[in-house]
Amino acid sequence: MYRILLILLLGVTLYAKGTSAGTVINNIATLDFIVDDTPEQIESNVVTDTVAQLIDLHIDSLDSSDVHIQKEVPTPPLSFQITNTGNGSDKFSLQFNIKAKSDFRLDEIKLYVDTNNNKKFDAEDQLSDKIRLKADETRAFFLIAKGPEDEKIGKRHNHCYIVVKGISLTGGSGIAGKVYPGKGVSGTDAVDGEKGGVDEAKGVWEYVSQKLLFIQQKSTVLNQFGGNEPVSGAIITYDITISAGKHVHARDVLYKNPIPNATVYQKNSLKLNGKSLTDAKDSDQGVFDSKNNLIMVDLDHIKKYEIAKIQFKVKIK
Amino acid sequence: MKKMLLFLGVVLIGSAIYAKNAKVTLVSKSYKEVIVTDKHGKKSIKLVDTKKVLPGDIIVYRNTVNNAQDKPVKHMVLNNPIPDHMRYIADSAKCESPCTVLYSVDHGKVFDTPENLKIKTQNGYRIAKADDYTNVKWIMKNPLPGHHTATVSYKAKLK
Repeated sequence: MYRILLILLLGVTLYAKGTSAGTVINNIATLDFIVDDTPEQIESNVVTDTVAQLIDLHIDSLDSSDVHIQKEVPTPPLSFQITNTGNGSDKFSLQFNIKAKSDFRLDEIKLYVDTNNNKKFDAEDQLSDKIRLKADETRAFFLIAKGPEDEKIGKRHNHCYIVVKGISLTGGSGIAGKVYPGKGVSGTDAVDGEKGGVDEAKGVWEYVSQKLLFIQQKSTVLNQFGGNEPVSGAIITYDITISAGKHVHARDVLYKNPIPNATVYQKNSLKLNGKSLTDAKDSDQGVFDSKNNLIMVDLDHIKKYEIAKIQFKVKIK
Repeated sequence: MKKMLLFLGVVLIGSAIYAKNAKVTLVSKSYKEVIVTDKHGKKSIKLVDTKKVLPGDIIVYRNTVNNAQDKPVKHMVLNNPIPDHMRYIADSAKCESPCTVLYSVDHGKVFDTPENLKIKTQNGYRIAKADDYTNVKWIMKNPLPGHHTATVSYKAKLK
């Protein structure tokens, strides 16, 4: 019998928005016929079937990538959503655990349900690990945590892997086809669906250190004699490459570089990605601050995988 | 007293109809289609009782005419409205003895063969699909002899 139900349920997922549990299906036929030249009509008995409750759910992560944690910055939530893909109202328990392979653990993780249904964690959302959903209803929920203490952060990799699990409280055995007589909507039988009334999704918190950007700098010397010795009067060209990490979108990036001792900044030598910038504080992104003897380049945003190249020149005194 | 006579009259008329049709009965039953796999991995379809039906289930409705009299039953026409929430499965209407199967898309006002059934659309008409059928009709070609049965059936999927 179990095998029969299991196979039967394989086709059910296509009908997540199926007929509601408790619906009564009646079939009745009529027969017209003639006996002894007399026309007659009779009806069949009424065949009545009641739709049982199919227990099913689906959980998704709402985060498109790993969620970054930074030191001294409030930890952003991990966001998920749960959908009742069964055909009747059901209550679900929400659980989470930190995978053993995680590089660090977060101690104060709490579950919040998206009470105001805006798919964003906010003050209206309530702390809860249970949620009631009508058939086909979806609701977001969030995992909120405090950032890890430094000593809990892994040295090589900085990920905290979370698994959230939703379990039907009507069924939820984890066994497809398990029947709960009379436990469904309106006293109908309830049956665990393809996933056994259980589903799960993964989320990742990634600790990103302060070093969001990678800076490489190189210098080239060219003296007035055509050589590369750093003698007085030689020109040093600095080439600086700034790039973002693979998950980083850095904002409000301002590059500052003090002019090295015993050198003099070469007027209008500042370039960004090969394009000359003026030294004045004007509409372009570059400035030579003569008062503080430094150059500044306002890079604004650097998206993941983007590279900014800055160049300027100094003369050795 | 008048009321009493009227009541008796109703009872007698009902009894007369019952007595007249008692020899010919129509019994409808439903079964659920399930796929079972034997120990060799071979799959087959079995019909089981519809103790519980779930969205996506395929239900087989069987209507059996029993002629419990000596006289033959002639010109038998069975009409089965497809229940709400059920979707007729194409070509599933069967009969054990020769018959013609017709369908309706307007709850039995008009019956015809599939190629002649049309559904009105914004741009005109289209040929009706099995999903559109509201009724199945079986027109039996031969009389049913006395003390014989005839069975027709169709399949529908629970939405």
